[in-house]
Amino acid sequence: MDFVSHNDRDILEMLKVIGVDNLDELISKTIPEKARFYGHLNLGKPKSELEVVKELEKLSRLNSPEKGLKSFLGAGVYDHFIPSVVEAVTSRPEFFTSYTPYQAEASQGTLAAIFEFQTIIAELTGMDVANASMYDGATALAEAVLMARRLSKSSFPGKVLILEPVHPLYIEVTKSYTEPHGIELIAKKHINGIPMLDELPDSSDFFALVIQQPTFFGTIHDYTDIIRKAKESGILTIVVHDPHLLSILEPPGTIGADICVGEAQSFGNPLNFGGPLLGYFATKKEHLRQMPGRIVGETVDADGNRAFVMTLQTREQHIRRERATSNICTNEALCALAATVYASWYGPEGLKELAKTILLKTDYASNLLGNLRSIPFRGPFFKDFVVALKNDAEKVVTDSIEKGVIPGIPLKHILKDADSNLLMVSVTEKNTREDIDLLAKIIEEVDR
Amino acid sequence: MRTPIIFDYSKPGKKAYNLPEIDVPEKEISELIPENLIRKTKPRLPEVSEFEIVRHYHSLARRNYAIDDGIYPLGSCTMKYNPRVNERVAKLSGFTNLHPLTPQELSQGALKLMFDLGEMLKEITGMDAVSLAPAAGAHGELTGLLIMRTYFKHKNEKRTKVLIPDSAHGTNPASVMMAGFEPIQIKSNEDGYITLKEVKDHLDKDVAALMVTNPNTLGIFEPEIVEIIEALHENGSIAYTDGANLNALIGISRPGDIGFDIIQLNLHKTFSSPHGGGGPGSGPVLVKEYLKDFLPVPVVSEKNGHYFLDYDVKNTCGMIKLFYGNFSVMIKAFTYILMLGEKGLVKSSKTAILNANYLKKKIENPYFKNASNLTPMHEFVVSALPLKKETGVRALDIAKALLDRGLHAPTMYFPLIVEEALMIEPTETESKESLDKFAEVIQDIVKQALENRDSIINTPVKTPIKRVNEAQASRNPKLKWLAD
Amino acid sequence: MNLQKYPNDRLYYEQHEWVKQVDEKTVIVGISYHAQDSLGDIVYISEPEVEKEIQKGDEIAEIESVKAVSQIYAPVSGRIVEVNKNAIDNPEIINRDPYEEGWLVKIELTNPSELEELMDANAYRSFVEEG
Repeated sequence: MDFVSHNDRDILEMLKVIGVDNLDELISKTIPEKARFYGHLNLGKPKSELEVVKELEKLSRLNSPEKGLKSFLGAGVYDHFIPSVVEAVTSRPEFFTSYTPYQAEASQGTLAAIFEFQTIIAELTGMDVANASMYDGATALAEAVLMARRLSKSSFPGKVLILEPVHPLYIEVTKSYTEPHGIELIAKKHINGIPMLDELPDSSDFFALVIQQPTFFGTIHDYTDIIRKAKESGILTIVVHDPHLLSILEPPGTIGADICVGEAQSFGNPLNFGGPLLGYFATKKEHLRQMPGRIVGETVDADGNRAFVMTLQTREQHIRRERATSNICTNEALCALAATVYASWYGPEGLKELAKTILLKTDYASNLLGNLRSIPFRGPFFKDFVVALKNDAEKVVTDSIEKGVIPGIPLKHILKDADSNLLMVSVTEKNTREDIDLLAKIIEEVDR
Repeated sequence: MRTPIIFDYSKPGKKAYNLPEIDVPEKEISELIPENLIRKTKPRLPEVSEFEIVRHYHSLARRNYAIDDGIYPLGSCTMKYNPRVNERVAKLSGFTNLHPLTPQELSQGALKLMFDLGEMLKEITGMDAVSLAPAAGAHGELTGLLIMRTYFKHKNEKRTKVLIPDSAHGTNPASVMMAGFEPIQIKSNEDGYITLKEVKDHLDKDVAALMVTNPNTLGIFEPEIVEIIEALHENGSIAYTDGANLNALIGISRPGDIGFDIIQLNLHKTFSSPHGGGGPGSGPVLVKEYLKDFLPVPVVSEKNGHYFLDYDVKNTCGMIKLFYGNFSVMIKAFTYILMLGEKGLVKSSKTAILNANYLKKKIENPYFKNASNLTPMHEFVVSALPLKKETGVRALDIAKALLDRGLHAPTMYFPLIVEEALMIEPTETESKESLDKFAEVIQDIVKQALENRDSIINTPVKTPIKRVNEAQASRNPKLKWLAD
Repeated sequence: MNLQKYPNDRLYYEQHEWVKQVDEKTVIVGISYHAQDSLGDIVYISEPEVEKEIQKGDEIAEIESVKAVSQIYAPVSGRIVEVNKNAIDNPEIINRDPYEEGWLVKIELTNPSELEELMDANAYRSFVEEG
């Protein structure tokens, strides 16, 4: 099977136009003999669509979603309800089979949608500007740190203060991006899950402060003072924020943060085993020229009608090359479209009501499990919380699965030095009270 | 025609959403969250009905040109048909609803798919080990360079420079900088390739690598690449190839066999997954055995028929992305390779070369100059400079005139080494009729340019909007909707 | 508009800046007709730092069109004493009138003899047109 559209006669006619007798003669004119491959690729015979679909269905069935389990998995990527309109839009071939909108006149659909996405992110975060998306929340944080480095006049290479608890994988990814530049990431330890918000280090080496709302443990805190102190010390603040929570909390832009990033997969995108995700990136107007990634702007066409176009491209790699603000080119445009439709469907009231629902459900679940076992870190919680079990969390997970529930993630799977009895439980609007009650019952049964 | 945005329909009180009744004890937000943290002003998000959403995005969709509309010959972008079977299988619930932190015994199907895809890519490229984590080509470049960086650090060698041809994509020098190296530009010769001599003139003990797209952005398979790789290896440097143009090579040449040490691929180009208007993509990195221990974590491994995420990579360059990469794109690439098999993939690459050379012949005219005298592979570049000199019509105008005639433009003004460049990659899935039509339209535009240049310079007029004012967008950036 | 491409009342630097003497110790600097023409529609100029000491050949600002970036270099050594805010805020002025309204910085010279190293209009014309 292949997707070539010629018949044999076409091929002969085309070869004749080119002036060669056969395809191999043409190929041999394009490549030195010693670079040729004459072996066989061990890739099997072509297959029919019927066979391929069957094979993929078989693989799909080996995975948990086809086993009817209730799930309480989260830790940065969440299983939210996706309204039907989202897929109806993202399945339009005009959106999913088009390229990056380089030719504005033939790409107004994609450009307008990105402009809407930028507006939604800027509004939610309380920032002036947002870009067209990043690969995921972690690379968005890494790029935010590099951007802060470019903005700051502090001495090179400099240090970044990470106010724990911040998602350990975000720190890992950021480390990979900053290590080549000698930037040091200094983690300030939390105490019982509470970030140490009192004082900033007395050193001019620090150029950025990283905080997360809610924290990696799902807890919500007041960062207003520390952001103000950072500003007074000339330190740029980067906030990693859950997008749902932005509709009920005072946003980072309003409380003085410089950059707000995060993971917006939870806005209308399925889990997909963790990819693609959707990094968002927003900042203040005065930092715009150091922002990485594509940006769409409003302008007019030759008739003076409103139109959209990719703009401020001189920041980007295809123009500024080694002096660009980032190497990013392809981003997660289709996922951003999904998030845009999702946010339009919910609107400001719906998102707030949804966030409240999640908050109440997380509260209910953490109280219920807190009555049975202990909760080491204090809430309020949003989506995630940690339970201290009597037994090894891995064993509890295995035994719970036998009873039809994936109860969460053993914390040490993500946070290496965590105690082995800690379990991270995550809740969304999809988990009913009945599911949560069942979870509690099963934990009580298997964690003896 | 003015381009609509969803905010145009927004009015307080309109709504599309609906939620189930809250089934847990009702509380006020302020009972859980301190009052001073609660948001005071509501974000100005759209307030619209569901039907308005559907109509709006239907209307936006109609303002997009997509590969389903016709030829999309952007050079080095490999805009080929996106088989619908890919979309179907990627939407299977066992894939879409699978959480990345699911216990591994419950994600064996996904892990097996990733492992098998990795094996296929190794076979196609002649490399020894793979990471599927990078989310896009540029992300793969960065990952490859971080692998390289970690390798030299481990060997205690201080190498600071990476050589890059002047015909390279901008992502190459940008990735080099991000990985903490310094890019050094290598000049291409008049036929658009780099010579052994030019490379040797720049080789010293500071050179970590040469990073080269092959076939290059002119579609030319680098004629001296085998000798260049030998010289690099003698110098202790790494041969890195950007696999953006792998669609020319399957079954014809294997980068690993001719000595390349690292390659990054674009599953959304060569392996038929759609571009989504700018992503998601997937940019796996493949390396030779000696670099295996420097791959990012985790890699997917197999033991006795059990598949697992392996974090035990001795000298890993770290983690470069949350979780394991763009899995849904991998499903599509896997499906494509499975369906085509060796025969279909090799035929596809050969047909891509056939189509490019046929189209190159068909658009020949006295006002275009070939950027190289060599025979290109899957894409080719012409300079429209003679036409500009004769008529004042630029490559940009040709691009806009193509849009007006219902076709998409090629890449323009790239590579930078060719003035008034048009970079054309038709791909194997275009029919002869489609290529003939494109060539006919190009010839007609050239003819029109000579007879009545204004009729070309004032295009497009038939697209949803007329020519867009880019200068105004940059001078006075309006980057979000502002309520009147 | 009838724009003079190489006015005679000033000197030119090889990086396509012009220099016009205001008094013994002070010059104004801008970019040439050729420089703005090859950039196309200018959309942004980074603001040079007033009071900054500069050496001939130093980068003093970045100038951008929609699809290109280039640098403006100091044609003489000295101290930047004034910046043309109007041109920074409305960069299209430089396309319209590169030699008068579109001037960029005023520099107080530290080494007036450097002026002798610059090209006159005729020399600059052949530098541009004959490469």
